[in-house]
Amino acid sequence: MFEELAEKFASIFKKLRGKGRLTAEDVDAALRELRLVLLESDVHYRVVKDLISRVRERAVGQEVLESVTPGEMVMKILWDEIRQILGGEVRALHLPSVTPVLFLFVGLQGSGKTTTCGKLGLFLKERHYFPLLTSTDTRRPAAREQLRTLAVSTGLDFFDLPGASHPCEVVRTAKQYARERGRDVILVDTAGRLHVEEELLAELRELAQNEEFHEIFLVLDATTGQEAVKVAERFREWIEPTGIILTKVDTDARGGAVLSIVAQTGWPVKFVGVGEKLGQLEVFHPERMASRILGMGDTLSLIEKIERAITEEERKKIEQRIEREEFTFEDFLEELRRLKQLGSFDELVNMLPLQLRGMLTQVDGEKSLKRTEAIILSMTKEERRNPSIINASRKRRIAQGSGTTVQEVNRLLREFEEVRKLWKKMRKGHVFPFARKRGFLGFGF
Amino acid sequence: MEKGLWKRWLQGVERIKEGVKERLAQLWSQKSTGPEEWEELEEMLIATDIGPALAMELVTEFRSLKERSRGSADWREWLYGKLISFFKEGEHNLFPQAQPDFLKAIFLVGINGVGKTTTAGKLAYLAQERGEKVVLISADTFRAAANEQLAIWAERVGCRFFGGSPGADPAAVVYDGLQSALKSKETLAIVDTAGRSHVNKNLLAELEKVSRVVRRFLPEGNVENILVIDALAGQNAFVQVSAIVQVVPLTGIILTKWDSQAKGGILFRIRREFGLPVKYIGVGEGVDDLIPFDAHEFVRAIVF
Repeated sequence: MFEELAEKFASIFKKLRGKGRLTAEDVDAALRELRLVLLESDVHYRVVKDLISRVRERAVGQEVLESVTPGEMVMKILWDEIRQILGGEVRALHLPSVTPVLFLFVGLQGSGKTTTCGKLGLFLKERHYFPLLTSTDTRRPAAREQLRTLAVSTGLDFFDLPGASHPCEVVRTAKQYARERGRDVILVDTAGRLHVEEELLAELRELAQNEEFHEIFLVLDATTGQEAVKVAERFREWIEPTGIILTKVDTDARGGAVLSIVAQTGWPVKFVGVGEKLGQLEVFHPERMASRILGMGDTLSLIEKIERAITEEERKKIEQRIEREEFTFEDFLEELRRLKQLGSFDELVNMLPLQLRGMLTQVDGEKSLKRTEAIILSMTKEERRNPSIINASRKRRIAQGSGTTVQEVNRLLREFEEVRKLWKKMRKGHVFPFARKRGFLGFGF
Repeated sequence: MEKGLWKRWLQGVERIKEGVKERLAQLWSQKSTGPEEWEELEEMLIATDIGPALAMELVTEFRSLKERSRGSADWREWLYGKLISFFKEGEHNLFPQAQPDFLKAIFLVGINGVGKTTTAGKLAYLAQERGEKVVLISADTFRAAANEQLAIWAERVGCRFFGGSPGADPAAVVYDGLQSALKSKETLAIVDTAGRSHVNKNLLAELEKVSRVVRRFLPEGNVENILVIDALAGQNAFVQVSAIVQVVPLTGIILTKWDSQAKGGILFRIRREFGLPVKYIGVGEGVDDLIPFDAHEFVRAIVF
């Protein structure tokens, strides 16, 4: 996601690169384009105006003149502002020690409430809660059936009261059921409603007044346009959500909606839905999102993921290796195989900074991994340990052995050299090794 | 057309021009206009989701018209001409070149939650009213209870339903569905597909396969490949179209959730950049809440 937005940012700030000092005109020119980019990305025009003027205020003047690299400065300011809009810190789920805890899902039709309900159920189950799913949706054909199917497929309990005359009745009975069955969190799905359907919104308000909900999630489609802000504001007139779950983030090529909604309402985004499968729900991280928007890549997520896959022992081994600065093709192979365990290639690539991503996606991801593996396997042990001995005739042999071409072997050798440099940087403890590699934050400053 | 529908539809149009028209009239009569005022006008236009480029274009043209004519020209005429140029006469008709007496198919695509299934149901209702014999085919074997949802619609409308088992290959389901439609001499097959994100390569490939199956069965003129778009969608809808157009030869658009008060300005941009005609507008959850799109009515309502 956010790729295109990030790409555009990158091209704009390339123009700022290489200047010794930034003048007010430079900043203005960049910001004019930035305004268009943000608008094109469905960021609300009021938010855009605000963001631009704040960045300008901070960028033009003392701060910039004193800075050594002005481009870096503007980037930092921008990142900061976007991160601040997105909420600064990670907000945790509110799970008080009462039984049962009540969560409510509200939103427009088709925003993904039912699916999200199932996803959060699974999320809680994985964290050793015993959630119960229930739905008050009597309008959409097969809505409750959908939730039931989701519940069954994830082994969650589902409660249905088909004859219920009012949503309150469903929740009341579900609570009783939960207590009897020892379910500790009830996830209540509701019928989708437009922000202009007052009758239905009044029904929601009644529900929220009758029962104490510990979290009320506004489920919002990330692909929403300029209207997103109005949707949120209208909902607020009737019910006060405690947080946002942003769905279809994987579809959203630009992601401006999230910026505008959060800027206008101040509600924290708690989760993001990143795919159709039930496991594809992630905790929202403002910092990471801000980095991603600016093409710095979601390096934090990547590092976290890698860390999970590497056991402590292995890490020591790697660290020792890095100490010795001996990173060989054997290690590279090991890394590749570990990469495969982490998840789909595309998923991983999306976490990398933009520039690096481009390099990797030129070739078809999974396939190229296999070819890379084949090339390495066609090297002798000696070659793997000491790639510098690979000369033209060895390259030909390797290419033949792996069914590839000499060009591909060359490319791999180059990539290997880059990765080796990365490991060296990691050794020095840089937080953003991938970004560092291509200059500050992936922009080549 | 029923009165209530008209009302809702016109309300929608009101929203598009809400404020903008007054502003235009005001700027027109004003002697001199400052850059902030132009920018403000641009923002008003952007708020309708027509996209920044188009908004800028409109502002620039309006501005030069004003400066050139010194108030003698009619800006309404200009705006009408400008907006109507996006559309073509009669383009909202389905199957303009259909081979008669042969099965026709409407193939619905779009991302999750835009209202494909509901639209399929409504289309089925309208077609039945016209005297077509309809079968609703669900190619969504992924989403939980997608089959049930469409089956309920089929029951409501009074037509046949055809669906595959969960997890089945959608292309195979569609193949079987179309076979059965030919056998039972139905005249229109409406194919509902799984909502898919336009970034997922595998899903797009699958969509392409299903679309190929449909096209292989029927003459070109008998297939409408319709993209369903949510009126609330912003410029991202544009990205959706660009991705889907690569795999399915789209022939039109249906804009849903027009009753959401979204302004749906994206319609203009998509019409211009992809040349896709708008076929219908969805205005509610009822079985007949689907209105054929009439460009002249639409633009006239905006301008006058």
